[in-house]
Amino acid sequence: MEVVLAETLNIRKTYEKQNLFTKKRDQVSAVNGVSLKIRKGYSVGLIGESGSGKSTLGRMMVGLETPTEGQALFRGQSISNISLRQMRPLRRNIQMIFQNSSSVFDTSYTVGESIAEVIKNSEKASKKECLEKVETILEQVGLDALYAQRYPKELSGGQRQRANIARALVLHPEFVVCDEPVSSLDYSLRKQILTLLNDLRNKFGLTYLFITHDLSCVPYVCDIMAIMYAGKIVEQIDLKKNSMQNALHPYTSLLFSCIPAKVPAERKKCTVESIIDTTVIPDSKYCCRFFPRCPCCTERCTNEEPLLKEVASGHFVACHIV
Amino acid sequence: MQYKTKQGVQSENKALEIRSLSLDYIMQDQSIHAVVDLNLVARTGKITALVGESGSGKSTVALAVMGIQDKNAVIPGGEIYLAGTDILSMPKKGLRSYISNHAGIIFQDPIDSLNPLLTVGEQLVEAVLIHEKITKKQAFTIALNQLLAVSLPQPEELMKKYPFMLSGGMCQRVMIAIASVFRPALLIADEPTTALDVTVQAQILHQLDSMRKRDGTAILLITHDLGVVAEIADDVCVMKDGYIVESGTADDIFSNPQHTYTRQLLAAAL
Repeated sequence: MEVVLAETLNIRKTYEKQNLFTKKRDQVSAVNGVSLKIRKGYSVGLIGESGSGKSTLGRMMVGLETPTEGQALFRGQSISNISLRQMRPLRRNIQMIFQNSSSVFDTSYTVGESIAEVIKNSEKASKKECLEKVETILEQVGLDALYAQRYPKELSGGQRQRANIARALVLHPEFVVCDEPVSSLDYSLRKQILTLLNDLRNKFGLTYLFITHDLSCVPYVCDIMAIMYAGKIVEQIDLKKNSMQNALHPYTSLLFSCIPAKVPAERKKCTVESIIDTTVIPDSKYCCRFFPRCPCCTERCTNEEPLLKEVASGHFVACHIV
Repeated sequence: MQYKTKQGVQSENKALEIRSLSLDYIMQDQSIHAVVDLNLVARTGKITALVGESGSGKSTVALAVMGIQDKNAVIPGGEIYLAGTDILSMPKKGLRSYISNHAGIIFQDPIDSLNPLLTVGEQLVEAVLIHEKITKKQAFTIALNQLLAVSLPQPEELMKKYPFMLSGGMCQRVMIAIASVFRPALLIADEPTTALDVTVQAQILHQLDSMRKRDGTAILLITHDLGVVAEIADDVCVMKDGYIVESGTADDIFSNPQHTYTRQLLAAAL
């Protein structure tokens, strides 16, 4: 049995929104009771539309956000309600690759200085050691060591994303949350970066939580795929035991139908009726949150909440119809 | 018409024809050749995709067609026939209204392209009133129909909303509505789905597809995503460093790529 590296226990996050004029307070729940276990060496893909709470979940697992309810654990230790001082030794094992590589780096620092700062924060190292480490990691992500002296604006988008990955991996963390690492990149660079992430995973034995909205890159990097809708995980498939095509939840099949064809001959007829967004997510706790958009919704879906159940080994679905 | 017009019968089904267009950006110490000797045709009712990496000059082409290129851009040669007339040889006066009557453009970031201080309705009505001298009420009805045409639910409610209240996909559809108010012959979509989710991307692509079928609009789709191209485009032009390296129908490009760069791009598919 592998070690469970990162874990969430029925985690919730609600944001309070105050109307500027009426002073009325609204609650927006971003993550709504998610329990997720990530074993060491596995890479979990978290897929959902924008607003489904996937980034919030990722940030809570790194300890950047405090959950309203529930806990995020790392190696069995809670990281949700501990002080920054207690967090510091853990931090070097939990890192995050942020989506927007241009806002990660301080524009007045060189790339090398930015990465060296990460090292200085968690260990005592002389300037020379720092520089050596920075240069090694830059070479490992496929950049020349000379790039350490460049400023972020002098790098292209793909190079900056590599530097961003280098920044996250310089301390050799065990667990890395990748928040949409390729969605801001050019088509031709996407595969390069994903291959790099795979190589680094084999080299360092990393564990990934891979957040994305694009299903097409999932088989490339992930072992487990978790589909999230409106703050809940609606389907979870272990891709080592099951094929991705076996997905059962209507939302997953909707996502599948949105993947563009690979070649013009494979174009399928667009099933837009179910795509048309009624972005209204029902408030009630006692219903399936997907029912307004679901093509095969029944009465049961409107008054009873489906729970995750195991339909095959390593395949969980939260849907009444399945 | 006193301007150069293209001879021949074929011109009717070509909404846009670009002939050996070159464009340079003049900097203080150097000039950059952004577009070199480019030939491109967008046929009526078809989707022409212009594919390339960032920095290959594809957006520059779009801006040049709309006549909104940067001030330091110089066009040393070439012709851009928009709906049969060369817009580069037209006098400045009347150029803007000619272009805006025949072409519309939507940009990559939908939320930033709308005015944050005006409601969606005000912006749509403004677009209608620029083109035609009618009363505000009539313009309002046209605007409403326009929103219905891009399948946005509850258009009356939507007209009173500000851009920040809408999602990215809705904003992009409002942009399509504004750009297509007067059924332009050409719609330029500059990376219309890059900033959007896959589900929303499917909606927007469907919207563009139904628009060219309904109105016979020629669509010039600028993108770096070959997935989008495979899904929707009829003709494809592959652009690299200002040159078009390969062009042809979508089937040809995907099944039988000739240029090394096109092969590289196709190999980058996941």
